[in-house]
Amino acid sequence: MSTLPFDIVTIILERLTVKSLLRFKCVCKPWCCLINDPLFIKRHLNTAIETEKFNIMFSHHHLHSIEYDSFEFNEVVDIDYPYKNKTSGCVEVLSGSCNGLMLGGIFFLWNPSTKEFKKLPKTYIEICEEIPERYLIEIRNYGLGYDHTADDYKVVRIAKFNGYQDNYGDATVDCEVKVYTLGTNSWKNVADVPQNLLYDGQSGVYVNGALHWLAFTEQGSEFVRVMKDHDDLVPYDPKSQKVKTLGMQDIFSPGFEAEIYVGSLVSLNSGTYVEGKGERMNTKGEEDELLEDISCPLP
Amino acid sequence: MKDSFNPSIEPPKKTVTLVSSDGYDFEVEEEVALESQVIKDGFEDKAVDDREYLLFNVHSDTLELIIKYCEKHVSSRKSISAAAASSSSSNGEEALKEWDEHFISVDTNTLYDILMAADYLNIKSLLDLAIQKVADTIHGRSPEQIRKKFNIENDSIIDPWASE
Repeated sequence: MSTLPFDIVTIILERLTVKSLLRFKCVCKPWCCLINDPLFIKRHLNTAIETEKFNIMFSHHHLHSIEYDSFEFNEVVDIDYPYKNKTSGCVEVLSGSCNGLMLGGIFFLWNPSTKEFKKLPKTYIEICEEIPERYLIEIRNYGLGYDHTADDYKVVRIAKFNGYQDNYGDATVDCEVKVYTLGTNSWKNVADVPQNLLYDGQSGVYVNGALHWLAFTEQGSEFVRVMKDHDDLVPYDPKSQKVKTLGMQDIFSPGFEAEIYVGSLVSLNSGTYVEGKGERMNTKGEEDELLEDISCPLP
Repeated sequence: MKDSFNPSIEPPKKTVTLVSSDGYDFEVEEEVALESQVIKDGFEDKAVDDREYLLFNVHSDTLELIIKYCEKHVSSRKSISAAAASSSSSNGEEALKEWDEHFISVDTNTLYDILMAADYLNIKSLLDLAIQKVADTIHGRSPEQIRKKFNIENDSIIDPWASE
């Protein structure tokens, strides 16, 4: 029996699923080192994205996952979720995903493939704390993205408040944007986004290296949702600029929430990331009807 | 399958000689040999009568398969583009995929030999095909089966899978 050189073995392992890789960590020490290597993890992720090996996660109070190309019911896998409601066993909301990582509610990051999770440090809404009785929280938007320049994952939170009306009947509006950095495990305030935008409360979608929220102005009457429509799963392929549509309606009844994710080995606890300077990413309107498509650069 | 629709006068095909590790000569058409990126790099700099390549790492059995693969891909590409030019419908790509699948369904040793040769000669599509095949065969196996398959010695002190 011939033996394959290690660099070829490496390329073979890049094609495997996370489940197999986690099991193969105990094949031998060199394999274990390789599978834990951040460079390998990155290449594995890129191979999965290039070969479009996406999984679909859907929930209806309980989480399930299915491999993108299998699409058979007997291959639907139940996923355990870190923070279940103790009494009902139901899942909380997922408020964003990127490169196989999930943002669970507002509390934690979670990698469903490796079952790793990390609690986010608590952060208060600062402008709210100063004069709390004057403010009503109107909306909170979250998003999870990957910052290429800093090689780090970041959570963005946009909080918007309506103040009391003053004597002239004008309400004050405040908007606060905070960013959590995984590498430093800390929150930071960043520059404000325009205040006159209204958000639809959906989580941000990570496309082309930037987080996008759908927003519209008060004058606008149309309300368009693109990129993340729960009735139609739309995995966006940044390379070919094509949007692929899967007719999910036939398979799952309405009311299912679904996410697209790649099986990823990305570790949440390595702590080796270095903080870097962010860069403004391109803002790109996806459709003509889209009134405002704001893109928050990962600072 | 029809390779191409030939004009009546055909220029003599240029050939290249590939020599396997066990000393056999294989004369192949230039475009077939150029499927290998290694041969392609610096091909133009070589004198026309000196186009002989000694492939120290490739046995004649494997080389024969590699040439078969390259010939098939060159001819398929031609017929696919010919079909596209005459805008006639063609399932050439599907057929080629099927052919690839059949081609790579070989025993493990042959598969490894093809894999190593494709890596050595840098034939990307064949390397991808072979790598995916190996990946598919080890998907879902136990660590012990993997050790056997890759000739790896168990170096862990406690093997959680040993009791299986």
